[in-house]
Amino acid sequence: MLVACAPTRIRHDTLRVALGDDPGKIDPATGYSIPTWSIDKLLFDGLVDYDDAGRIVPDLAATWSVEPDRLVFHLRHGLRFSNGASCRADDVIASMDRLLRPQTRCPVPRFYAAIAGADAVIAGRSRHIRGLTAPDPFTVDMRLVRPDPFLLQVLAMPFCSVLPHGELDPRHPIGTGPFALTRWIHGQKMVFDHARPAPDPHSPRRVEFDLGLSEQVEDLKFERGELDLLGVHRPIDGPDFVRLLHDPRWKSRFVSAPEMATYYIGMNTEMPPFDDVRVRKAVAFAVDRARLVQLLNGRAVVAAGFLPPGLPGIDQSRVRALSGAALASGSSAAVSDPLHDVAEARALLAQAGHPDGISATYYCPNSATSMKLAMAIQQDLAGAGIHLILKPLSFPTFLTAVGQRRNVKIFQGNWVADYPDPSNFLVPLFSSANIQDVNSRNTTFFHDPAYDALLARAAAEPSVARRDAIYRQAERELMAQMPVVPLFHPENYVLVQPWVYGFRLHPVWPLAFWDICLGAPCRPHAAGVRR
Amino acid sequence: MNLLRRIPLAIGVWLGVAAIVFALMYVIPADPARILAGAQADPQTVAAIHAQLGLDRPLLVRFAAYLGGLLHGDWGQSYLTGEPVLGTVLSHFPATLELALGALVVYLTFGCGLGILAASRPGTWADRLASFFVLAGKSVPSFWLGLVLLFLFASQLAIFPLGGAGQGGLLDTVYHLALPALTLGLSGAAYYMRMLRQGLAAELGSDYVRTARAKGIGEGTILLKHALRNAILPVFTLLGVDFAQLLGGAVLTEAVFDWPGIGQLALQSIATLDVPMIMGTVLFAATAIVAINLAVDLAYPLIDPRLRDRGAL
Repeated sequence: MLVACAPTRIRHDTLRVALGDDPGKIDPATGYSIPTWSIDKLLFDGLVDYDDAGRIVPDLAATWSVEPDRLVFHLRHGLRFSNGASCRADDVIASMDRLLRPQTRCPVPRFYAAIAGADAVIAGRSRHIRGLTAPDPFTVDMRLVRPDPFLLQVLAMPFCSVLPHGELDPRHPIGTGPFALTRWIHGQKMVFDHARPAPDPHSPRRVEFDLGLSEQVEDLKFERGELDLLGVHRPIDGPDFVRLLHDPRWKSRFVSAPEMATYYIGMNTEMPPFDDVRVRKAVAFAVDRARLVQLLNGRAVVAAGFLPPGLPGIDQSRVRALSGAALASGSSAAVSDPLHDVAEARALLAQAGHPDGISATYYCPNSATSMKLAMAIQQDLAGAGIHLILKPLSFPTFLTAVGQRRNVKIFQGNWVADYPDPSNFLVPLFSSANIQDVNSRNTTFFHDPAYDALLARAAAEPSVARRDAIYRQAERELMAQMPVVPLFHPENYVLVQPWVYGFRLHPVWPLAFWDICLGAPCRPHAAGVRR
Repeated sequence: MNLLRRIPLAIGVWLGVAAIVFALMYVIPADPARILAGAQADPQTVAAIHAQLGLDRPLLVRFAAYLGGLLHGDWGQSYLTGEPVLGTVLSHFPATLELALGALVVYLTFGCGLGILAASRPGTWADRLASFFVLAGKSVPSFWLGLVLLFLFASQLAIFPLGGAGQGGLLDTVYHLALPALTLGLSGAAYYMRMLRQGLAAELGSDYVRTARAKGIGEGTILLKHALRNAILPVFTLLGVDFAQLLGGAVLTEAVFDWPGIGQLALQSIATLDVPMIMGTVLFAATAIVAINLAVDLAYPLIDPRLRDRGAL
């Protein structure tokens, strides 16, 4: 554990944050990680965006209209790229064309499959999305082959960033975002300078991302005042987190918020003994999830379902009672897992015909945190007669193994929201349509016609409130079948230097830089102003 | 004759390494397309990327294409960035070269310096201190030493920077290089110290040294001009091997100090299963080892005239 020393340098024009590894290239159509999304938000904009509550709000599009068979976007006037060129509807369409072409290698082109003609571009049969037209330079007409209640959600993702003529130089990217990349020392630093007037006199004029810092160096740099935020793109190292949390200089400087993610134990519903729901429930009763939260230094909440807190439509009270934040804030209040009941687990195993217990190989990624959790789970389950042999694998190998049918019986998984909607949790992982023999996204191979019917009903439901209600029903159905044991939802903790004002954790974006001021608080009207 | 025999042998070793690395990369039970597409990508997209990367072609066809590319100087493209592998590796090479040279300086100054000191004063406090240095140098893991040096000299005393490479001139480079070079060099220096001490001790007990002493030649001259020249040959061999290995990247030291060299590149490539880049970094290390070993072999006769007389070239 490394000991703190006083911050020594304060700069009020530059926001300095550690990013992680050098991304190598910048392409919003393929970047699919927390660091790349931070870069994308500096450089690019899309038609729409997420607000602080995860709701869709205007971005390049000032307004839009929604009809069952089309979306019509009206762009703001006077939009310009960082090279000075105007941004028009043609640029939006060319960027969408580029996004879906196979050569671009977008990881999720099928998010946009409801747009007429998207399938042909995804399959490489056409270079242009037939359903996208520009009646005038400021209007984008998006015709649909079917109603898609999630299309606006996925259009707000960085994949749909607008590029000049739909073209991109990954080393010198141009976008309409508030910053432009001005210097990139590979493996060391990326520098972004403001490309348009800052919203506040104290807004950062420059953003610097330090690349490739180890956890220890990142901590030391922050404590020496060479970084303004700690823990944005990677959780603070466990021992240092505890130390900083109890350090009078730092303990009041933490900002925290739940992450839209769920960690879980997955069980293959096609393979014995986990094809028996009683065995799956025995696993749920055997694991002490509160202890797992303690292992994470309280930086999580015990899961009360699969859908995480912070997701629109989720009843927050059901998780707050179990919040691990009590630990993190230094409270002595004990956090307990109401589901933890070893006797019940043993009884269920006996009912399922395993009075002497069972044994299985437990697959997990070989990261330090993952291994720590796996060992705790192994101990918990052994107490109920479920003996696990741990099989830690590198993440690529792990992904391939669990995605293969009839290969892995039980494993440790986690799912992070692509966009803030229950569908993003309940459809990819548990819809029977996502079962494949290899590279299956439904890795528990859960197949329930009643559950699938609920998902189909929700997808066709235009009312957000009614759709959320159907998803909550689907979640209850899922928990009754229990192909997964939800463990906890992680919480993000970011440490903020005293001269940084206005930092908040956004539900989707890792670095909400637009509300940050350095050296003095932002003027009241500037907060939340992004364009 | 020797030269004519060694160059084809070196090329053979290099191609053998390429074949082994290629085979190892493709027997790993993981799909690079899955990683490239992301954990949340749908199977159709994974399959499309799989095909785009050419991973659906037979292994032998891929190997033949890979070898063909190598022979034409094409080391392939990174799965992650699409950039040419050779260009990316070479862009990380200057940082690795700086670190390697820095480590060599530490090897020579600490290792050889202490080795000479210990050999010239056997059984004294200097000799015992040098022995302790060998023990400590061989026992302390470099990543631990790196963290301790960082903590003391960068965090607490603020004499050196907290990681990263220099972006300015020579002084800035040295300022950033000092701690990583010391970390990497100290453990290696212990071997040099021990080897040189033993070599010098043997030389100093030999007949020609006794004769030189009888002629009244000073100890300093005997040590540095006669004994050292004979004892330095194995050091020179080891230096060549070590330098070649350092050029392949010092993964742990680079990771601790955020040094943007080939070791860091290899580490990142492994994490993302960027197969062409992993193969590129390994192949580059193999190239450095083969080339420098060849150069050392060829340079022997220049240092030791006895080898030249035996027709080593």
